[in-house]
Amino acid sequence: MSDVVQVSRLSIVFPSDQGPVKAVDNISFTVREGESIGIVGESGSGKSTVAFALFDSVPDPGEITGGEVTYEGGVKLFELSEEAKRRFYWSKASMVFQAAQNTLNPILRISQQIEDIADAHKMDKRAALARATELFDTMYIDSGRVLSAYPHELSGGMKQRVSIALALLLGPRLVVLDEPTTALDVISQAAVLRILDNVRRESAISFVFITHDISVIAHVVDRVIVMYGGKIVETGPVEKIVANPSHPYTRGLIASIPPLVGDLSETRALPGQPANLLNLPKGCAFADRCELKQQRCLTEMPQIRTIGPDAEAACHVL
Amino acid sequence: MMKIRDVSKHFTVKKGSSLSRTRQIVRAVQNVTLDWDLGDFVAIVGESGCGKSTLGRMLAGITPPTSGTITLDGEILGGARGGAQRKAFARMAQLIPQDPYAALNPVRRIKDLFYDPLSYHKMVPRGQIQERVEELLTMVGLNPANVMNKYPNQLSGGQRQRVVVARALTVDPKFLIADESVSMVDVSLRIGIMDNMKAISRQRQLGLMFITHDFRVARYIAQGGRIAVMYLGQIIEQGPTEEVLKQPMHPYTQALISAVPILEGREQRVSEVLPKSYELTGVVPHEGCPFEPRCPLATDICVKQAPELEADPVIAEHLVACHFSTPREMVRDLRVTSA
Repeated sequence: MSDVVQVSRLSIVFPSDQGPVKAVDNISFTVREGESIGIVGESGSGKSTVAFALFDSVPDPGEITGGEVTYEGGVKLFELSEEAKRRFYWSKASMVFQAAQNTLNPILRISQQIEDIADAHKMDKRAALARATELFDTMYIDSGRVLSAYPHELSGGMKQRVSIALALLLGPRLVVLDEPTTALDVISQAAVLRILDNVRRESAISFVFITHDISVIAHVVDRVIVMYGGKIVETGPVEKIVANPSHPYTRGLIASIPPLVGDLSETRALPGQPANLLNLPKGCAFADRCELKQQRCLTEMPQIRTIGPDAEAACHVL
Repeated sequence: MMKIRDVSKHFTVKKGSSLSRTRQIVRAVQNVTLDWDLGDFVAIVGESGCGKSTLGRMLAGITPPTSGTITLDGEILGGARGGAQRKAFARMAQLIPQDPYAALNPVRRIKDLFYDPLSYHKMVPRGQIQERVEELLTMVGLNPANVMNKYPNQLSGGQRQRVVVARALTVDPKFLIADESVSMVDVSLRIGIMDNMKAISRQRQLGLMFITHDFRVARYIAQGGRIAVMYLGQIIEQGPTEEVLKQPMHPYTQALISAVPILEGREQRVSEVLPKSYELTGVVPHEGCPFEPRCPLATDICVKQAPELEADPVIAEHLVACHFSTPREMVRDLRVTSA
């Protein structure tokens, strides 16, 4: 299977008064064709910064200090001209943000926004509207009402579904979704996830989900990447990560999600606070919160290594 | 003991231009009856717009009810004593707001945020304020030396949430009402904050009400307590926490549980109830059941007649308001069957 995008040795630094913040530190991963992956971590783990880097849009004053993002066909993202990047986004790779209400233009009807996307990418407007109507139908969106509506006339869940439809409009190869359901109510969240699951099963599009709550995306991803303190600490198939996590941090994340039925005694808080990127230790960033830490963890940074089929982890104790 | 009897809150919403203004009444909370005792943990569950936050604000004495009564130790809230009573009530029941970013004054240091309530309510002599602030911060699991002199923006979301809890405790309340108090915090940090709130409430025998849209949070906080499910202002199901989760009876409760993400491999869905519409349909169009427009089981009777909240014949504390209520197992614990 070919890779849709390959991230290699990517590092991103945010300069600050108190010194450089290493938001992303030398991480590598690939997304295969038709594959759906989840990047999971707490606030400050660097997961959203990775999403922005996939579009070379790391917010100021962040700076990509090393590494490469290579899309299918050897397209090196950081070497593209601004114009080439503009054409690339939406048509080859698109993004859905956490707060959908902020991404739709409040003073344009939904149909106008669709025409604008078509315009910018030299697509026939009528074809774009027809495609949007098809997509809306698969997402339980009443196109008769929604196309002529302004964003404020739609509920949060409906706006998020519209944003997802727009992201799919030009038939991209990769869609990145940053906390796509965090702002939604449970029932709309379930609806959005159901829709995304259908889309990914019926198409060859690859997805990258960014979230702090692995339970939300567990049903719609094939593989999970767990980030902590700007680094990847574990990767593996979703079934393995959920049922049999290896890294103590991943174990802590899973144990902090209370089950709906049965024994609650295994549900535990993850102690301490998320890693402070300004002041990362010499050894493992998770050591101060880790139940299994040894002397070595404080002095030596664990490297990511293969621990099983399609599974990697960065931990001395495994 | 707090007795909530037939409490309703209606808001008037103005619509249209200044020339053709119409008024619409929104029934945010409708005839809610609930007993809430010291040491009692209750979770109120529902979607946005179900009236759960309005109920919380009424119980904290912030919003007066349109009708019905809230009595605390036999005294009716909003009664003759006016201002003095309000002050006394505020000391009894405290609201922990949802958004720890909005709830803390950004230009005041953490310790200053405690001075006003401590001195206004004369909780401790002036000289002991500092000491009391340190005690409160320690109680919620913060290191006072690390946070006392900081401004809210220098703290993480989880730390701010703990400060908000500590501030609600400044007046030694008997009842705590937490409105979605962990929803803005990373999942990994929620359990720690909830454990802390549970421990404080247990030690001090407080009544704890937790308002949430997440059944996992509801179950965790109200372990051994009760869950009440609200829909468009009304309680539609209520019962012991484990009963409501194991055998939910109302199709809306079943739909809400069906929407909760589960970790497959650890849990398994055994049945699913999908609402007819994923969107909350605003105002009740008829005298029947509020959930009728979205209910997959609805028939003519649901349009004509509103179901009463009635006790289950088997478990008397389990109440449900539905003409077609049936207990249904939604999720199974795989850890038990595999062991």
